Amino acid sequence: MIKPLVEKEVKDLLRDPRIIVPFILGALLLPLLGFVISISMRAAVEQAVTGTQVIGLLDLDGTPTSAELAAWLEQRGVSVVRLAEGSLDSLAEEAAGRGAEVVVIIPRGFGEAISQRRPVNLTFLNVVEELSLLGVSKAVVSASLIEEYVSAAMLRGTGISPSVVRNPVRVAQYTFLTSKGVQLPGDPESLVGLSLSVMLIPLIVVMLALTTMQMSATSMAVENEERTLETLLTLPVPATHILLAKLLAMFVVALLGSVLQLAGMVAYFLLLMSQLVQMSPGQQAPATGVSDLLAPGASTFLAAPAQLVSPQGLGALAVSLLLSLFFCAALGVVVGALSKDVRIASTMVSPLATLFIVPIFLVVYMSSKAMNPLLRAALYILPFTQPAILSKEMIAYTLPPELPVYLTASLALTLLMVYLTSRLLSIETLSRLQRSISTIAPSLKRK
Amino acid sequence: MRAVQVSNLVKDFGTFRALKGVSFEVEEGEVFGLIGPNGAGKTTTFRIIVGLLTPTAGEVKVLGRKPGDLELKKVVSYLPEDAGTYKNITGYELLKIVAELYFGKSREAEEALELGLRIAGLGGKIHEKMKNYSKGMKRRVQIARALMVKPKVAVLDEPTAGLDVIQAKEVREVVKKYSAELGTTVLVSSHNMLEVEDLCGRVAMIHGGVVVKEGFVSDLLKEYGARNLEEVFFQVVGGGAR
Repeated sequence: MIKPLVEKEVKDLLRDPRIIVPFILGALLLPLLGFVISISMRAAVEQAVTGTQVIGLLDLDGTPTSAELAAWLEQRGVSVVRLAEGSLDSLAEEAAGRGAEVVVIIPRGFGEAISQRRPVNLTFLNVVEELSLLGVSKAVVSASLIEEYVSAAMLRGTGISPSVVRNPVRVAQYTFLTSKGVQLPGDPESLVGLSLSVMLIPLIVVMLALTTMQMSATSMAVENEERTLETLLTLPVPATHILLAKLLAMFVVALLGSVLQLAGMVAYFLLLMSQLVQMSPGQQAPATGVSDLLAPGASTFLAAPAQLVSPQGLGALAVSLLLSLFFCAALGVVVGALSKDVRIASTMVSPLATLFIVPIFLVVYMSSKAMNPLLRAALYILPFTQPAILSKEMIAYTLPPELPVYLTASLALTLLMVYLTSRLLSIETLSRLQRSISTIAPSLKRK
Repeated sequence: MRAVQVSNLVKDFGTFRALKGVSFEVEEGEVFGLIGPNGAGKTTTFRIIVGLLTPTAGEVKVLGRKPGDLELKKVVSYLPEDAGTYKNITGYELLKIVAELYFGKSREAEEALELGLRIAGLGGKIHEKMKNYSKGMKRRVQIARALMVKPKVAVLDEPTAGLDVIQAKEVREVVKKYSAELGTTVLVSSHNMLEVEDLCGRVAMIHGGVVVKEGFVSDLLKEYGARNLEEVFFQVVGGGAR
């Protein structure tokens, strides 16, 4: 008895585009995401594995032992760049200029410590241009090589195997973000909170944009479904006012959402930075010279939150977010207006959502540095991707100098979208377009 | 003076010709019925009269002006067929919004709202969200919305469609009473020819995008020796209404 019923239900469901389209999109989305992520991962891995390992060496010890370490590293295929003592900025700049992503600072007493078989203190300064989830630190490779040398040097002439020595080197890690001229405690990977925000914040931003679009599409589709749009268009009010009223209402609701999101974002940074401060009580002034990094309690040197996320950056993000919400609300109105009912509107929003999500994954996973400049410009100009890339680069990289131009371009696109939407708001145009859509996709016809 | 003049109206939707030269005139203060089966062209004609659609050919004048301009919209009310409501606002809120759209925050708006509340006649239920309304209640609010602004012309497309006999009767009574009281010219469409007899003085019968007969209800009944308009209609179209 139940079998025909089940059969009927299954057929009914599988023939419904509302059910099928998200399935297909979901199936397409995952391989697409995998593809996007794999490209970025391959680039990151290639960067780490291929090419000569370049280490910047600042030898403050100046003993034969430290010179021997440099020669030993070179024998192992590492290209050693000798750096002169100076300010952190100039040190990082020189290292980056000569292709070194990690600077090993050998302190005074290095040779003496080895001869006395005491653990050796080393300071690693990772010089990176951007924070990324997928970066592989050169410091890890360097540290293991140096450890190998130190173990061997300590036990020279004893006949003891170097492999029995545990922790001959104590490493202090720092990261210097060249794009911002900011130093942070720890290696780039351990700044996972920041890296994670690079992923999460653009996603939150895009969710907000999608919610706005869905909301306005539904609201407009209800107008069609209930035939209230017809009534509205016969009231003594211009169509542009009807559209603006709708957009503003969407905007206000979405704004409330984004204010909460923005507050959450600011709270996230403050919390994160306060965590870093707690890790290193005491001094909070940023280190300026190498000697600061070598001083006891050196991990207290921190970037102030404002150095990482500038108020200008937050301001630009707020503007960009507002434009994006307006754009998405207008896009939603278009989708809703073209839909005879809510069901059709939901079906139409799904493919649009994919168009939003794919670029966002590019933003999240692709290194800003490695990104094609044209792609980067496009992501900055499109109102729905702009806040995502802006929020990422604001934290992890550096904002482009052309940002005001991009903001203007996205404002222009938003205004164009609103204008086109207002042209659409007539029963004549809408019924013509709805008929065309029904012809192209007969399954969307109102049943 | 003529409130509405429709001459040789043609409307194409792609390759489909919905109206094939519709003509009729409505005098001021008249309750005029456009009757015909579904798909005859009633809604398309009304949508052109209120300026929602533009004709492919032919001309429409409402109170001597072309439809669609903002000044005309102030004196022409339209009730679309199957008009729904906003589910999450109350009937009172809807009427208040409409009153303010027409008259701003003025004494006139307050009067319009009072009239609207009287026409709707929903008592305390007017303050409930409209998603809780029955179909008849929703239609009462819509009729109130259309008439409370004291329009010179009210275009009501199938105002009783989907209502039960009691609700339909109530809506007809409201339209009759208030259109007479306000001196409004009413154009009403229906595929229910019996109810049109109850409501209208004069009718035009439309079939396949063409007006096939026009006249006073009493004259038409006499001319065809018919008991009702339905019989007249079938005699006019030769029984092949569909």
